[in-house]
Amino acid sequence: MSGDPVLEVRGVHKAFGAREVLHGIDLDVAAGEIVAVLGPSGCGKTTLLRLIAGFERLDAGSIAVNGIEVAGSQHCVPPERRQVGVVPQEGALFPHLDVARNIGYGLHKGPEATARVHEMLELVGLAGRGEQRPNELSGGQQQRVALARALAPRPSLVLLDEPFSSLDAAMRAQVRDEVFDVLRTAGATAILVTHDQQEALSVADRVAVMLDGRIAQFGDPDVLYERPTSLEVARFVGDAVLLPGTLTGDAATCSLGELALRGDHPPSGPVVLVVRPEQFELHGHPTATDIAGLVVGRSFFGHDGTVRVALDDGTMIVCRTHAGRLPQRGERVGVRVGSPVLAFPATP
Amino acid sequence: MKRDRPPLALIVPAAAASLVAVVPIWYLVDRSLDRGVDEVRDELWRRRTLDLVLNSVGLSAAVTALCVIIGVAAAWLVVRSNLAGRRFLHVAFALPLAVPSYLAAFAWISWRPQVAGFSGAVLVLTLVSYPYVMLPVAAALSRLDPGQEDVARSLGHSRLQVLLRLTLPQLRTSIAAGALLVALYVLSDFGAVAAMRYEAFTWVIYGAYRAGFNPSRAAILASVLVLLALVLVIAESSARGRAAARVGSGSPRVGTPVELGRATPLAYLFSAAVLLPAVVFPMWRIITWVTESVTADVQFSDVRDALWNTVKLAALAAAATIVLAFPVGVLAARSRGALGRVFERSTYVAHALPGIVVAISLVFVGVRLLRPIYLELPLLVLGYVVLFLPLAVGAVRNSVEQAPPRLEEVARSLGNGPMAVLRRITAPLALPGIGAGAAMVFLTTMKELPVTLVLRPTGTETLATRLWRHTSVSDYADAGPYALALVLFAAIPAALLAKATR
Amino acid sequence: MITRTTRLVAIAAAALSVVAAACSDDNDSSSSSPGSITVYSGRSEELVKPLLDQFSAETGITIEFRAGDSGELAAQLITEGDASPADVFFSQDAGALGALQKAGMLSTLPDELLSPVPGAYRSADGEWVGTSGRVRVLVINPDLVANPPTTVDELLDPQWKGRIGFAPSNASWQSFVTGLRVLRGDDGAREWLEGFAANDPVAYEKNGAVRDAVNSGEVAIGLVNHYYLYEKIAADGAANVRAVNQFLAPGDAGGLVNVAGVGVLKSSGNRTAALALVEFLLSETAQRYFAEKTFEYPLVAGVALPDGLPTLDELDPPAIDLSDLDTLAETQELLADVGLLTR
Repeated sequence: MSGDPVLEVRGVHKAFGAREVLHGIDLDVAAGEIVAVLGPSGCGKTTLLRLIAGFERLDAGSIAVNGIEVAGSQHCVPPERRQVGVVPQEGALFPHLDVARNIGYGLHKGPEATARVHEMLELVGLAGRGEQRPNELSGGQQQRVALARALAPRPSLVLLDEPFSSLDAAMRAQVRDEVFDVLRTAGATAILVTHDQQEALSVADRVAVMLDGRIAQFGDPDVLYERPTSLEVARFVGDAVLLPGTLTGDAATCSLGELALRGDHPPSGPVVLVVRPEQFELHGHPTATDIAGLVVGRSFFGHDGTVRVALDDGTMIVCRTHAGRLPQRGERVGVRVGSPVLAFPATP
Repeated sequence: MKRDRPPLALIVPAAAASLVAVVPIWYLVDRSLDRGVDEVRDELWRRRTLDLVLNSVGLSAAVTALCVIIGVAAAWLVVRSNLAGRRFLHVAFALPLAVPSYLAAFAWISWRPQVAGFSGAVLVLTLVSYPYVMLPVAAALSRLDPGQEDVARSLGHSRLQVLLRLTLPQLRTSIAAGALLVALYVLSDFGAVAAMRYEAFTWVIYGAYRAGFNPSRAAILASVLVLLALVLVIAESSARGRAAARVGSGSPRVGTPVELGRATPLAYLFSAAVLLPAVVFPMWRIITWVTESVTADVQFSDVRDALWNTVKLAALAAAATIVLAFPVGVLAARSRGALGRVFERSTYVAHALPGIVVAISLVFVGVRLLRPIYLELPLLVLGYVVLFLPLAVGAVRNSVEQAPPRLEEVARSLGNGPMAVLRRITAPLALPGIGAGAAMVFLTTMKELPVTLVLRPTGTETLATRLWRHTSVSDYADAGPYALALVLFAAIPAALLAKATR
Repeated sequence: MITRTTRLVAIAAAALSVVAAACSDDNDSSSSSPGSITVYSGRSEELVKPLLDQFSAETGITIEFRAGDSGELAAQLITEGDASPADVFFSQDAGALGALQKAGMLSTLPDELLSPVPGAYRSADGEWVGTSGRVRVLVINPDLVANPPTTVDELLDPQWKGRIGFAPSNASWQSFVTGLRVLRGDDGAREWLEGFAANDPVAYEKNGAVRDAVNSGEVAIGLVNHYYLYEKIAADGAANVRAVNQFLAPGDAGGLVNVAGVGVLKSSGNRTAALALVEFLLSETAQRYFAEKTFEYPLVAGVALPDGLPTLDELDPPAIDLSDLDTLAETQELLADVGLLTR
């Protein structure tokens, strides 16, 4: 973590009617940092973002921006005085204003504003398009204008709410890279709300995994992947094959035999083992003592691929392997786990 | 649970508008209790009162049902079908708005006295008020995502099923809003039912003034209409349901027009069956009066002065009504609290009152509180505001609801306070709808008679008062030029309304 | 897009400024200024304006003229109370004046104004005075009616079934029925009305239409006021009019005389000018104007009647206190009951 915290969220609760959607959220974001809030739809991540922006009032807890409390159980600074920029889904550009006026919306009129609008147009690669109407732009361009509009008044923090979800897959990666290049160039502090774990892991400095209105884990992307602190996080971040097993000392037994463990693990007893698809090693012509199964499905991605194998005891696993070594459907393969796996207590 | 309270800068003017709208209620309560509670009971507890209420409710139900059928069918034809000339028809279907109900009724009854009665009243009121349903429905239809219809067809639904199960439910809000206006209008109408000699409830109210010289009795009876209005307003908001917001923000595509094929002659037949009696017939009658008046003594300058006064008053009424309706409409569209609903509904409660009651209630308030402007222009304009506020509130609410709230949030996050957002985002986005509301008020003011007659500054003549002046002494020929000017010039805002909903 | 927002603001600002401007002008025209009175008139401007112009020319008193329905103007006056800007109420019928009198809003007129008008056509307490009279008559088509009826009861004869025209929403017709109730009691009136209804009378929109139907032979007899015939004669020429008036027998309920009349408000700020107008309306000039222009009966003795009209004395109309004609609401109820109100 570098720099002072720009955002401090402490113990935030929020209910809509009888339904509580946030149960005590804590979140810190440091200056210049890009944090992703990752969670499935309905987990409360958009509500959290709206609380930070000031569009909703919290029920308990507090939110501070640059060390100044903007929301507490007793008071609430309106959105216009928080210096928090917002890039909503689909951009939400003002349809009655042209691009330049959209970007300049949050600026006080004057020569500086004109200069700033030009600067922002340059930054998002839309120089000379200031007089166009939002509906004349592509989806990706609209998102860039929305970002420029949010950044123009130099906010302390920019909130991006699923900003790429409406773009088609082919454009999404490109627009995403452009947007985050802009954010990094501007040195902006940002929170990205997304349900796309690949998106979160690839662009954020840190990722907060949000499940059922709580932050399940908050850390660097590789830590989340390598050392998830709960089974739920392990399942949500990255693909995982879950195998029931029994733990004795430092090793666990399951349908794939005895596997080595890594990280903290629970005491002896029934456990759930988490194996990442790339941890499986496949080999042809298994012997009678090898653990083996039949290839029932195969997806080819170019540089690598996955196969689905039905083990002889009926367990179904997904293995990721180099493209050159993808077995054919119907082929019998042996299966080994090549590295230590994660273990979590089995929930009764 | 804490809620964001709307800004005071909205609540205060909305409360003021709401207060203006319920001025007649103050008067009614004061006058009703004038002679004690027993009198109230005696007046209401009569068989004739019940009979006439039932007469009015029956008329209102019949007219509203017919207006919904005609309005929806006409809207669908001009928006969704491939009927040749549908753009022209769209405007033509809105034109009956330019014909005052008393004039239409008069045109019929003076041509064929036999049409008098329930059927005549239904005929005339339906023909002049179906545009209240057609215009909002046409607007809603053109906003619907035609993609939905394609999807539904691909899922194996016939055209009819799509219409019944997909399109109509989404039009529910607009149909309910239009139907409410029609129902209230019919309850309040006196001109048409008087000419048609259909004994509606307004008869006894007017009778109480004209024949009984008993304003207290009129007030007690008029209170019944306020209660009916309340029931209708509540029924409408439950029928309205939640406004179905458009999902996705892509610009609405223009749907592929539905091929009418062999049904085309039927569509033209329908259009003719509506437009001939609603537009062509009254125009023919009026032109007959005008040509007869070659011998009549009508000064061109009188017509011109009356027209100028009419336009001036209509413009003032439209501006003042929109200014007062704007905060109410915005709150109704945006505020989740009860306050917005209360303000909005309060503007409707006086809408079922006949014009004379509103006029006398403004006399009541005028001499007590507004003595300096009594029988001056501002009080008259205030009277129009009371009468027509719901028309403008509905238009503002509807158009603000169309503007995505997310845009306002973004503007807030960019440093604008709620009022700045209202000015820079909400108002410009709602402008076309607000313009339509203004046109509606303008148009309706042009035709207004009872309030104009009672509250106008001494000596001011409008086209409507001139019409009254001549027709009340059965001088059709002299009335002709005024009727013609009224209908022709009211047709302009009517046509603009049709264009605005395209 | 500044233009759009500014345009909106400009529109609102313009609207407000126009309203403000409208508020500030016109406040110099107050009825209390000397030499000016405000007249609320249930009589049409077309009819009385020339007369009032003549009054202004003669006296220098200007008139703020507000026309409306007599009953509605009465309601307005009652609602205005003491604050009323009106000085004079000129009513189409006696009922509205009676209502104002009951509300205690009219001042007593001086005897010298009242005395020229017969007692039947003014308020007993002297708070209003009739200015002109109209008589209910039968208008008949002599081609279709050999022996015209002279009482309303003869109209119930089956020979007239489907041959009588009337205007059910007309105020004078309803006044006649009210008079019938006064003369015969509610039961007696109901009996006549039921008989009338059973004779299938033909309903028309207005008295003028009834007269035209009689003239054209569409129906044989019409129940109207006396002057409708003379209006038509004036418009079309006597040679082109077939219909004639048949006055009813002396004392018959059908021959009711109602009056238009005038009263001065207690709250009048210019009573002298208001009384001057009343005096003028009872002057020979005005009385003759009513007789010639509207073919109404002048009420002041000594003024010549329109040609061919029998005098009110000759007619000997039923003796009804015109102030008793204020129960029209009950009349309408009765008419509704027997099915004649909306026929």
